[in-house]
Order: sequence, then C-alpha cells, then structure tokens
Amino acid sequence: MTLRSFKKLAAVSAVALSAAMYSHTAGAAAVQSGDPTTVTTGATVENTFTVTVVKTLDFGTVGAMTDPTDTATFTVEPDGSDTFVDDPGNGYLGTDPAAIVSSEDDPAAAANITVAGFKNVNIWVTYDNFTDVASGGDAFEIQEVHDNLSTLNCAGAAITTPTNGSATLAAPASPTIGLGCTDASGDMDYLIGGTIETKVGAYGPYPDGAYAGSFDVTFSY
Amino acid sequence: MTPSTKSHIFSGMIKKIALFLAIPLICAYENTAGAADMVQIQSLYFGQFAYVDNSVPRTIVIAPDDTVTYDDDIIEGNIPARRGEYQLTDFPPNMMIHTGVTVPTPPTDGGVTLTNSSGITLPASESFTLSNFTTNEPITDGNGDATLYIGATLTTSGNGQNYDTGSYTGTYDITFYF
Repeated sequence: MTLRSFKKLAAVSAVALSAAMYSHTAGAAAVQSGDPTTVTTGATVENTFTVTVVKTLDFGTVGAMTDPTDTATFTVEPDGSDTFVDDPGNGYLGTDPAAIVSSEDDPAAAANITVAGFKNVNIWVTYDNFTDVASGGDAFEIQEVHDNLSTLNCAGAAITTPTNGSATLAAPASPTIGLGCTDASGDMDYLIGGTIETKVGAYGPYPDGAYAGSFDVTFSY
Repeated sequence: MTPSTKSHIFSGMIKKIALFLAIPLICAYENTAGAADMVQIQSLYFGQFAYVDNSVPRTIVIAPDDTVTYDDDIIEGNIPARRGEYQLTDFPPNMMIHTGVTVPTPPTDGGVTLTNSSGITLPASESFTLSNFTTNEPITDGNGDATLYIGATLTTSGNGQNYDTGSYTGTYDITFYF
C-alpha cells in the first residue's frame, strides 16, 4: 500500500513542473533573436469644432426716421448691458432730424455663439459678407460689430470695436479678424453686439415691419 | 518474504523513480532557447491634433522620456501623445539593448532595430510618415527583465493636401538581437 501511494504523488509533481516551464505570460509575444515583431501605432486628426448659435443679434423694436443729409445710429453692446442711441435727432425741419429710438418693451440683445474644441487654444474670428438689415426697399446699414474677445484674456491681440463695411459702403480691404480662445474646458463663449445706422433718404419714418440682415462669422485655428 | 523476492521489489522501485526525475531535466533543457517575451503596455501614439497648414512638412516628435514637441502649425488636442512602452522578460540578464544596430551583423550583446514602418494612414486621406525611431536603450536586470520605451517622429506630407478627420493607424517592426 505504501508503494502505490508514492508512485501517484511523483506523477502529479512531474506534470506540474513541465507545464510551468513551457508557459508564457498571457498576452506576451515570444521573442526570438533576429525575428521581427510587428506592433501598431496611430494618430487622431480632429479638424472640426462645434459652433452653436444660442441667440442671434437682435436690435429689438425701434422707431427710426431718415432725412436727406443726416443719419442716426443705434448700438447694442456684447454683454447686452448697454444700448444707446448715438444720434437721437432734433425734430422735423431741425438740423439733425434723423433718429432711432428703442422700445423698452422689446429691447435689443446681443448674439451668443458657443465654440467647443481643443482646450486653451487661440481661435481666429473673421467677420465678412455683411448685408443691410432690410425690409423691402428700406434698410439700415450694419455699421459696426462689437464683441467680447477682449474680455477672454487670450494670449495675443484682440479687437474691441471693429469697423466693417456694408453693402452700401466700401468694403474693407480685408475681412475683419479678431483673436479669441477656448478655456480649460475647450469652450469659448462668444458675444456679438453691433451698431445699425439709418440711411440717407427722404425725410420720414421707416415703414413698420420686420427687418432682417446677416453677416458671416468664421472660426478657425 | 524470501531474499530473492525482496531484491526484485527493490530494483523495480529504482527504475520508476529515475523515469520521473528525467522528465523535468529534459524540459529545462528545451526551454532555455527562445524564452524571451515582450508585452505591450501601451502603443506609440501621436495623440489627437489639428493642423493649421500642410504647405510644408510639419512634425510631432515623441521622445523615449515621453516629452512631446509639436510643430507650430500643429495644435495639440485633448488626447495627449505618448511613447510606446514594452515590458521585456526572460532576456539575457545584465545586457544593454542598443538601438539601431547594424544588421546583418548584429552585436554580440543586445540590440534592437525599429523598421518597416507602414506610415500612419487613413483610407482615402493623406498619410503621415514615421521616422527617427529612438529608445531608452534599457539594460536588463539580473532576471533578464527591462522596460523598453520607444519614441519617433511623425511628419505630414507637406504637399498642401488636407488630412481628413479620423483615426490613422500604422505598424512597424521591433527586432531584437541577443
């Protein structure tokens, strides 16, 4: 009986030892001198970022007058905290009758665009292709665009009050470009205000109605 | 029990014991050659990025110490680049693994070549080339273990063509000599 027990123990031990010597680590590649092992590498190109128009630029409800020699302007700032009339006019047959007045019941509001992309990078912002804010044959001119780029604390220059051309004024020699940047989350919160101006014409009020216009805003690295 | 019976049992026991002892010795002899292993901890990866201009070749350089240098016209994205990392086991002990050894006459001590790069590609888009492979030239320890770090340079085509957004992949060969 003693002899049989000894034989079985020896057989189990020999098998276990053999298995341990032949095994490799799971997931390992056996390496032979002079034999190549092919491995992978890669890269990811991401050329796009997400632009979301949260709110368009809206000058609200205004009353406006034209005259043959004078113009009036109305401005909304990017943070929406200030709207003002640059030229309120001085009445019929006055020396400066052109005017714009703003309704408190439907105030102006700046545009809000969010840009999401890489973290902490500069974003160039270009304005171009302006149209008038028009209804039929009556129109206001987009005289200026104001934005919040200077408040973003970006490395590099930022424009504060750019001047743009319109469909009736001479176009600028080059598009207006400013520099913004994304934050540590990869986001840029971009606010756009602007100034509209009455056009020179026969004295009288602008007809009631909805006036619309546009301009292009391009974001790039 | 008679003397003759007793001696027969004893001789049988000796033969069986010898058989079990021989098996492990044979196994040990066959396992000495080709026991080296390599496990990938992480692949060499040039990260996520955007490029501003491809009118001339632009580069991303990854060093074996994991530092990354970007061309001014390549914008680092939200996924960082990283060096390749490979765990080596059961290599000859106390051996330096030199990089870029000359073949077909490899060194008598350790060496590694990094060759046959396929480039880094995405179907129907421009490709990146891969070049200037470097390593940390590790020295295996007394057990024959070491960690191999791999760096390289990625270069754009510089031909003005666009790179599509997407994941680009490629391969290269690692060959050891010891």
